[in-house]
Amino acid sequence: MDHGVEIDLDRGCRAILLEVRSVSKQFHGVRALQDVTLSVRQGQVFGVVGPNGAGKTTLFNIVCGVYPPSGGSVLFQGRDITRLGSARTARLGIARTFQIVRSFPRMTVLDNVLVGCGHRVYGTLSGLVGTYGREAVRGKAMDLLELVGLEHAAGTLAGKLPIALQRRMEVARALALDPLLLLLDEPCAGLAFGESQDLVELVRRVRDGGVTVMIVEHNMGVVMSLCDEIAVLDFGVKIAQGPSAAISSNPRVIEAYLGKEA
Amino acid sequence: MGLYQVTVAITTGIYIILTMGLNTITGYTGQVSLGHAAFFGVGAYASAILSVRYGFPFWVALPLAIISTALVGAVLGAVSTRLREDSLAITTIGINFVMVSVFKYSSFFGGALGIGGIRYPSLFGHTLTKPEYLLVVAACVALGVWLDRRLVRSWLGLALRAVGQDEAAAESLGVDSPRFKIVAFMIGTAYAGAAGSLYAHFMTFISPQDFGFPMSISIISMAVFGGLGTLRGAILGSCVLGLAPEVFRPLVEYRNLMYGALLLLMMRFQPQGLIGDGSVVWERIRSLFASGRVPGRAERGGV
Ligand SMILES: Nc1ncnc2c1ncn2[C@@H]1O[C@H](COP(=O)(O)OP(=O)(O)O)[C@@H](O)[C@H]1O
Ligand SMILES: [Mg+2]
Repeated sequence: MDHGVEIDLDRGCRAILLEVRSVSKQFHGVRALQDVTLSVRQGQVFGVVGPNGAGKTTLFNIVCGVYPPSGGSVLFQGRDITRLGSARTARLGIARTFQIVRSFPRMTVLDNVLVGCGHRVYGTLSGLVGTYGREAVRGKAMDLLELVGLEHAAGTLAGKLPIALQRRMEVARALALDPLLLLLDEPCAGLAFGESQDLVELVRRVRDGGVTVMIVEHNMGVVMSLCDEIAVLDFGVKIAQGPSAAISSNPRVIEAYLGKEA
Repeated sequence: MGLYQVTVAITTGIYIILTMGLNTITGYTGQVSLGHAAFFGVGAYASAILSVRYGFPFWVALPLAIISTALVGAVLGAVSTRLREDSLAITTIGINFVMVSVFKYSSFFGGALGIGGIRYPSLFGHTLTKPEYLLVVAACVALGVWLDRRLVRSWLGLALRAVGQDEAAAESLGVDSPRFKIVAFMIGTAYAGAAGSLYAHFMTFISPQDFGFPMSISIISMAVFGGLGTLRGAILGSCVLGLAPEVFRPLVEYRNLMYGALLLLMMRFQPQGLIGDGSVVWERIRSLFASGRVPGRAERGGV
């Protein structure tokens, strides 16, 4: 944990990559998010924690442009991306995984990743209708599969992989976008202890590769060992934010989150 | 081959083209269309009108019919991007009925009587015979198959299948699903346009009821029966269901009932179709041939 604080100090002066400004979201009267403001710096692993229904996934969806917020705005590299929509936001460099795995089940693992490689050929007609398995792109996709330890499963239909491996595939697929920011929504849910440790290692490698990471996770061990900074949501409100060490001892957080979960 | 066999072969070829088109829309891209016959009709009427009223030769009318149908398909594709899955199915049925009404009640399309006197294609002053026309149809089928293979091996094809299997995930990877749905509709309806043109010049007479909802059910039955989302399924489905009424003549009367029942049975018991990916029969065939294959290549789907 000392190590985490050290990193935090080191990164304190880095540029802000993502800014969420007073974002609110209502679903038919349900207030999923209320006036949430936070900023993520380049190179950080930023944790978002809170009990179920706190609005964490909703926050991710708004950042990714799945739906616009009811109020407030989202800035990425200083640019307003609030209403860009999912696909354009992704092409700007915000990639994600899903809380409930979403693979392309009847496509091979390699093809799943190749879909994510598309932005490099996107818009050029020859890239669109040429053969997609061209060596350069294919090599890159295989490298990503190797990074997540799935190179042996490249030809397997994604729907046939166990969930733990599908989660890894989702990470590889998201990285195929060459993202600047990667959002992981409960990547360790349903994983055994050893598998969670592997995932932590993977996230570290991704971070070291220069990708900023935002992560929603219930496993506090994972959160504490990975995150430089943590924001805590409760009933759609941000009740605390700070370096990991400070958060874990914050009484409001213990009451709102850790108290209920434990 | 006798003339009867040639006629059956031509009809089957036209079915294959129709089913390949629907397979692109519904099989690859997951957009359920229950009104594919409407586009078959657009192609047929476009070609007939261009040929009868404006004197265009078949060789010009065919590509123009394909283009016009694809444009109409683009409009429906644009509409489809605003609809959820279930409402899209209903909407496409509606479009089929509207289209038939337009053909039937507008004098421009010849009204209930339809359009007759469509010329058989001719080449260098020689009017093609039926067997020669079969070659034209076969060439169109071959071209359609080749284009389909190209599509599946392109990133465009990959993106279409991604949209069909999980739209939200596709979007999260930068794939603009509305655009790709429109492209899928354009490709699929272009096939229908070609089929329509071939049909019109073969029959030399077309009328609105040729392109009604029952025809749409036939086409989707063929795609589902063979195995939605695979080219081999589309081809096998059109051959089997296209030929069945010819082989079992007494069943011709009950053809639509048969197709409808078969469609329901397939959806219930073998949604992958007869030889689709993951179907009982296809898995058998694969396991027979899989032993000598390189692992990793064996499971690549979509062929
Ligand atoms: N699409 C939606 N429609 C209606 N209510 C939703 C929707 N998404 C989330 N909610 C509601 O918003 C609240 C926050 O949900 P969510 O962001 O999924 O929480 P978390 O990810 O923190 O568990 C919950 O009360 C949930 O029921
Ligand atoms: Mg959630």
